[in-house]
Amino acid sequence: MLPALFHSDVARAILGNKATRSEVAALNHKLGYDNSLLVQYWHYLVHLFQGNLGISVGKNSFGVPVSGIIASGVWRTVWLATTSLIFALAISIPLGLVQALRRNSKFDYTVTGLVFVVYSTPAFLLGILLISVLSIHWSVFPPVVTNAAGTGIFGPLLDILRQPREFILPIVVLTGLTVGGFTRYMRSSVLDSLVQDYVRTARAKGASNSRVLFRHSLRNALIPIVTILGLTLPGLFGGALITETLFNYPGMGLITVQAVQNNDVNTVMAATLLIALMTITGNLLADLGLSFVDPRVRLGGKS
Amino acid sequence: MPVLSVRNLRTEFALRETSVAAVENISFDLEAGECLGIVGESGCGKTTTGLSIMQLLPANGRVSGGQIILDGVDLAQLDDKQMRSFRGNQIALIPQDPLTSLNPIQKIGQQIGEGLRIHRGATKEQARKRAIEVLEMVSMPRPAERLDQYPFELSGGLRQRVMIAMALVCEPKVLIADEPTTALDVTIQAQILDILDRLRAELNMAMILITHDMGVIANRADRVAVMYAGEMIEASKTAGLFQEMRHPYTQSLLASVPVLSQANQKSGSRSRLMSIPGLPPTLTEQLIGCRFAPRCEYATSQCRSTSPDLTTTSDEHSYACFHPVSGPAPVEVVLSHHDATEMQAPTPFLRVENLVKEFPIRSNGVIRRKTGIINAVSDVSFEVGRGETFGLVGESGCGKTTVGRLIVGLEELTGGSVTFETGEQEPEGRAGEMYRSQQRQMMFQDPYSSLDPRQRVEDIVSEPLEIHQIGTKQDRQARVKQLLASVGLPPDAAARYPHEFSGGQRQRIGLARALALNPQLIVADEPVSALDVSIQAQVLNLMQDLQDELGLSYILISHDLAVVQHASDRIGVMYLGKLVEVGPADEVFRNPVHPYTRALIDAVPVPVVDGSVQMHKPLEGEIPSAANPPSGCRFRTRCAFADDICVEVQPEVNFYGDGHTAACHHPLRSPVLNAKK
Repeated sequence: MLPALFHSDVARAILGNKATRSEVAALNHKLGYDNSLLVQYWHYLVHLFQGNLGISVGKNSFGVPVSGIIASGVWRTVWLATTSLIFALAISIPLGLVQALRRNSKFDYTVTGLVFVVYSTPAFLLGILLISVLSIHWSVFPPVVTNAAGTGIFGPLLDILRQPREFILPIVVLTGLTVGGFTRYMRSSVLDSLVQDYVRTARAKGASNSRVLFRHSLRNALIPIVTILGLTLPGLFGGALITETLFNYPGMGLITVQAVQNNDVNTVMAATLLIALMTITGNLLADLGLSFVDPRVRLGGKS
Repeated sequence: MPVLSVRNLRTEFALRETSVAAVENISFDLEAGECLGIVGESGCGKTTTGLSIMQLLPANGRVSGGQIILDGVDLAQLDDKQMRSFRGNQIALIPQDPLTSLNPIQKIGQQIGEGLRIHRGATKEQARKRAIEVLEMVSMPRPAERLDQYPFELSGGLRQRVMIAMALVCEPKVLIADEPTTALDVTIQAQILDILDRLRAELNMAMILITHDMGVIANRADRVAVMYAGEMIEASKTAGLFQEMRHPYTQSLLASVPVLSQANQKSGSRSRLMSIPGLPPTLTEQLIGCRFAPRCEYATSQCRSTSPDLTTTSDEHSYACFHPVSGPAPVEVVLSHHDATEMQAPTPFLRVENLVKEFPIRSNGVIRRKTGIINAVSDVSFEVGRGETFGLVGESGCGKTTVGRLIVGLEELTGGSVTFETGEQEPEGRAGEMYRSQQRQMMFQDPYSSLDPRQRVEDIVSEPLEIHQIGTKQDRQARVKQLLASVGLPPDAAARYPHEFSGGQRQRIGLARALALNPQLIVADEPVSALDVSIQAQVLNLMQDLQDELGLSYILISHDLAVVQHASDRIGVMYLGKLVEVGPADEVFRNPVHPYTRALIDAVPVPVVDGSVQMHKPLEGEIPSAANPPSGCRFRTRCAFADDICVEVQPEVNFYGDGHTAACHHPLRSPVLNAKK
């Protein structure tokens, strides 16, 4: 169906300019592209629900099942994104917290400035800058990820743990994508929670500043962060598109970019579906996380 | 020797460039077991006084002068770390809003026990045990179960009990209660105040009761301090203050409170509330002389140039005034057109019959299945006469606001009808909306959120005219001017935005908007509950004047029985979606038939010191859920007279006098058989 929208002839693309018309027609027939759009769509849906994403129609990977291509990439991206997310949180939660506590101080202004710089730097620019300075100029980190041998669910994680040096730059670029926003949210969330009446109640009990902060403010302040976190997930997949291409890491991002270049419509479809799935999963995780930190959500309804 | 002694307290708030003294010249002594009431209107500095003593001021505030001596230690001299060992230990706070003052995601037991863990180094077990103990002290039903509940699982009244328990956990010497019952219904307020009184006696605690409600302190506080614009202007033993006040502000303040009277009012006559003209000064301006002088009828040039000192007369009565008065102002009785003869035949012109409103309860999730219904309003019938004010009272959740919204057409009826006596059939659909909005308008409760902040007053007031395509632009502008004048706003108000006005002025704008289409009926939903008493009196008087002038009918919805009694000709009492009693206002208050009406009246604190604390037992328990109302009589779960018939049979409406009906199996007197409708 997608090729019709692209006005591209799949068989022609695979077979090249030298193939005869009848050869092209035969292949299109074999692949089902000569059916009407509705029929093609119906077949696609039926296959999809059977777990069959179809075969690749890309030039270099013709005939390989799409699920296989994706399976190898998806976990690489998941672990890369997860690691960067952990870094982003580990940086932004304390940073936003201290910013809120020292509101309008020099520290606050400096961090706010930095955060906006990071926030507004596009991933490709940050990546190229890092590569040119740290890899090419100083050779501190390798410019591409060479070791991506790990397969299965945990293989890519082991890759990262074994060769952290290779992964530092892509992780930094992905972290840069989210850390700015998180820090801003954290700062305003803590500021909000500090002026709440229950904070005054805690102080009226004689609680020390740290007790007020950690027992009362912080947990309440994290509630909105959890929501944001879930919504960030699909964005990270989008970020992977650029980062993985830049560092030549064969995750979902790179696979998608290559599939687009190769007119491999089935793989592009699968990647798009995956991002949709991620969006839903992100929201689901956010809701689950919310019910974990907020009893009002967990026990909701009866009030 | 006093437990707490405050001398010349002064608290400043730092602003962008200057600082402002929010509180000045506060001095008082507090003995163990004694209760000091601090009263005043919003912005007078009463809360700041409480927070100054606790040293819990916001970041830009600090105590800049005076002493706060607790047991020989001057709290004003302590640093934050030293002060911490006093807070929650020797001196505790009960804040106004129990919902926002509890940590929403921490269990109640943990929150109550926290003070003990901090100050006594108690273990978790000890803290839990103590938490149950203090919850028992505040008469919390099923205390042990509460420890593992979260605040949102409790009602407002129970949350306030939790706040009190939390304050008691270390047995403080001084308890500061800042508007502890303002967010609660009257019957719950009575429960909470009784608990505070009992505990004060049992634990020999000193208590500072901060409130805007003269009724709350009248029979509970030993002494009262009155604050105005950041200063203490009068202080005395409670009886002395109420009966022989010296400061003109105290006099006017008391005169502007509508008093719920059960006996001494003549039927059909209406006293006019005294209102204080103008507004309190802004503290950021430089204030010379007596701060009340601009609003004081006795003010002289001396008052405007010199600030009076607090002078103490015999009997521990002190006041700051050059021209003291000698007792309460005489009540001015104005016989309006509502005199007894005309009251005989109010031509009924709005008829509300068998009104029913149900709201569906939907399950969470995608499908949102209907899992039940809330009976917000269930079979309510009444009539409103031309030029009459019909008061609708009841506690929160009783359905009174929904009735109001149904009448003006803001909600769709589930059943029943609202008809005008004209006999006209109401048109359907959009035409019906236009028809209704021309006849009936609404005046809303919240003067802040009910006006569009980005519309000029002119646009707000003329919008109804535009929608109904009445007049040319010039006509409409002229009409707006006229309306603004009639509600007592200056003509230049038209070009300004709502935020430039005070709460009372905004309520006037709301009234002008409601009047724009010349409606016959205005439904006023808690029109004065967000306002201070002196301003409240201004708005109530204005509403009364406009009624006399234009022959309007009002439906006045309020939780404040005194306001309703003051302003209404007839009254309907609602409980859990049912109208339980209807009758002439004075008759219902003097001679109630339904046990709920009786309990409601008894729960209202009256700002009159009669030497005897009201000894009525407050109504127990709380209003049940409207999703699952009790069978038979809905009030039976809280009624002292309830028996089997109340469980099984819905009570019928009977007559107890002319136009006086009630629905009860065990009325406080027997029905009158030949009463007129």
